[in-house]
Amino acid sequence: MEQDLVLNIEDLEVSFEVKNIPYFVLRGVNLELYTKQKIAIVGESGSGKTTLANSILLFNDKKITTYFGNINFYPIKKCDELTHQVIPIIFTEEIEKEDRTEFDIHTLDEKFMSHIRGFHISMIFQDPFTALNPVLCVGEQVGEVIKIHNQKLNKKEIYDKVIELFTLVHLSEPEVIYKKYPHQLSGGQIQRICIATAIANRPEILIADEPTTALDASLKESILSLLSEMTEKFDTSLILITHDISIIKNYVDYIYILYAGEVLESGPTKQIFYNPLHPYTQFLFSCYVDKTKKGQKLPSLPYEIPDLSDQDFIFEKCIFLNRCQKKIKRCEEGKPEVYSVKGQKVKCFLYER
Amino acid sequence: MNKQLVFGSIIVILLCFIAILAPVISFHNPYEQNLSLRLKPPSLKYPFGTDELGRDVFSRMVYATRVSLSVGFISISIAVIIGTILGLISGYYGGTVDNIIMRLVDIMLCFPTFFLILLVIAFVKPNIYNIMIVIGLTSWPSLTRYVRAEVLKIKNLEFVLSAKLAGFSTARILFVHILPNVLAPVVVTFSLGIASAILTESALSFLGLGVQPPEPSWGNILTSGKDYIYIAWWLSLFPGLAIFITVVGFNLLGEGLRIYLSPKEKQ
Amino acid sequence: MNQFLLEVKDINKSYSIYSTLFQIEVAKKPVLRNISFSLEYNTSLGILGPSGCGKTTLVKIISKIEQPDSGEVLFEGKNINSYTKEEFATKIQMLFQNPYTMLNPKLSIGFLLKERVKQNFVLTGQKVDNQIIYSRINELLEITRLPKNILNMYPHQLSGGQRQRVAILMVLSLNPKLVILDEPLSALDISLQAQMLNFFSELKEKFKFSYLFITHDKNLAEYFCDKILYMYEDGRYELQ
Repeated sequence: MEQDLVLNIEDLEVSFEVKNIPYFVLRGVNLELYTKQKIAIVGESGSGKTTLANSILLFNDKKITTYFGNINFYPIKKCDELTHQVIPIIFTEEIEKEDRTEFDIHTLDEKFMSHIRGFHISMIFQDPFTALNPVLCVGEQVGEVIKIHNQKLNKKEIYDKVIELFTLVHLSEPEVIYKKYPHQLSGGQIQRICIATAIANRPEILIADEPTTALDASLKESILSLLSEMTEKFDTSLILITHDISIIKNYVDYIYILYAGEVLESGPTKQIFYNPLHPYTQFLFSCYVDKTKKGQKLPSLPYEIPDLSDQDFIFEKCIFLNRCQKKIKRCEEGKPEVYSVKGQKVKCFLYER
Repeated sequence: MNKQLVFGSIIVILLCFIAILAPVISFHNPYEQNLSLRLKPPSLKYPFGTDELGRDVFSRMVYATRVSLSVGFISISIAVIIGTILGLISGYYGGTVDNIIMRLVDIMLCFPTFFLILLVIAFVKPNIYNIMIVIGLTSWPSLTRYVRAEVLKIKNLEFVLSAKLAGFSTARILFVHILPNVLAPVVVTFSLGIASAILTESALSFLGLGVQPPEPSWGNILTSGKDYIYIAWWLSLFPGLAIFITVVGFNLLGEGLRIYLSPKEKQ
Repeated sequence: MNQFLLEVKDINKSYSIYSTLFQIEVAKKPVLRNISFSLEYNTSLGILGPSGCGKTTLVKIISKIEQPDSGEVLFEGKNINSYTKEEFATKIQMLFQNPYTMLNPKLSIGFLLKERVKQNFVLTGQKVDNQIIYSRINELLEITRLPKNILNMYPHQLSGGQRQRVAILMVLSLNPKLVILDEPLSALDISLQAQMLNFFSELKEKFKFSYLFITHDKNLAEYFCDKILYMYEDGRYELQ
């Protein structure tokens, strides 16, 4: 099956300036997303996963954000606004001067960006209850999104499309739901509506930022399987962001493990589950409990994630150093690179050749 | 930059200094009459001219600042104390208590405040203390509603439940736990309320029902101003300007505080 | 000493449903139907069920935040309504779910702890002086491994995990015998969840209290609890 690249993130670095101190929230992130692919970015709080999603859509606060690196988007749908094959959302140009190299960083124009958002790249968020406008009925809100990108449709056509979408996401009695207000619906229903809104315009990429975290355990599976079904149906590539690695096993092909701004490990789902390489990934898996572990004490990591403004540490040493239980002498001597091990990529000296 | 807060604060602080340093700033005794110097226009010796009894308008205006500020501050303090306590009780208890207080608020809001004040003043002696009390007792209703709304927002939040579970007395829960979280509208109302109170006092004094001469008040200087408006413009302009600047100052401060206290973006 | 720490007997609770326009009561929805169970000392009971099955209501009734329509709750043999609110605070305490709203945003951590420690001393009749209060606070800080400078900080300056631990401290300062944990882990990262679970076990060992652990995660309940109360949407329940 021929798979084309649809999103390419190269060496992405994002820093936020707070009270004149830069915090390097993402460093050296490399990510490739292909057509028909579903990937997961797994990270705990402070890992930078939401910043990564926001960077793809340039949602970060311009006043305090500095980018470095490249994010390239390869649109598949033909449209008048985007005429090139490669759209650089973030582009870093190296300029050679006499004695030093300077970098000129460009981010995509707001005009193009607003065309991309919702039409080529969509996003759904964590909290279903604040995702929709409480004073408009839900049908109208979805209709509005369709209208913005499809000016030519008339009212009836938009209504029909909305009903079609609601049926697609398995909402029973879509005509009744159309007229309801967000507070009259359950979290699961609202999340389905958000999914419907996001795929309404058949985007090439759908980013789902912790879509099930605010929902009951029983709903998690059904929302994830809906996401899977929808993205397959419309040939949309999926980026699923979560802090809970256990639920995604059957829903994604490739996993990236993000910790304190760096990708520590990545690989095909099966391999990561059966053979996690990085000590952090192994630790994550060991945190899950069930009946069989009853009475056992669970593992825990000492200390906290390092200070992301401490440039001496985060650029020179392994980011997991202060909490790693499998340190070796080599770890004191520098920062590990990304090593390939049978299809998995891991950033740890334990796997250095 | 929060321009409202900055400029509002500057004006208010300046007014406070003028009020405190009144004896130092004024050149003449504000009560001293000099009938040979009646209705003189502004000059070096009398920067704001003289009034119909030969008194220096500038000195009278400076001393009148004390009147305005103290009436403003004290009357609103009364209103804030009553309004906040009733708002807290009404919001927290709900039910019948809430109903009674809110109906009382509704009734009071039906009356045009100014006429209510006129009515009361008609029965009592018009002097500065009575004005403070009357304005205070008629300004609390809208604050009660604001405070009650804020209380309703937070009374079911976990930290309030947690305080209840800890067995704290209701008074403690209301004043130590809930009150700090509902202060935003109180602070803003305080500042805007002072502006309104000063206007009311000026109006009452203008009508002769407020501060009585020879005590100076911007309002009662305006009373003479209206009688001599064609021949002594300075008796109308300066007090009018003073009231205007003061009201603008407190309004800006109130607006600035509202902006300062509104929830900011999470970083 | 009474055999059971907590006994819940035939509790019934319904909620009224009001019409939108005139707020007239149109129906009553039963949430809890004749529910009964008991809890021994130093045991943890999991309450497991989907949203809306009434677990939060049950717990609100046990902690006297709400009153049942009928039935009674006994703590150490006595009806919970016969305890004064100060006494009751030293019997049952609750840890809430949302780290953002569980601490008063305008009060410093030191203030929050001090008032509870004081309250505890007053109830047990001990003499209250600042030195004793501070040494107790320090003891509590050590148990939760929180740094001393946290006393001067405000909730918005702390991370979710730290807030959780401060909340636990506040619960501990009143020395309860029963601690209700209302989905305490769902807002936390997985690694923090593991840490908290360890911590809850440690505390139970040390202070010998009982837990009512509310969750919708079956694996969690089976790992942590000695017994589990399953609640279903239609009001049925089962104890295992």
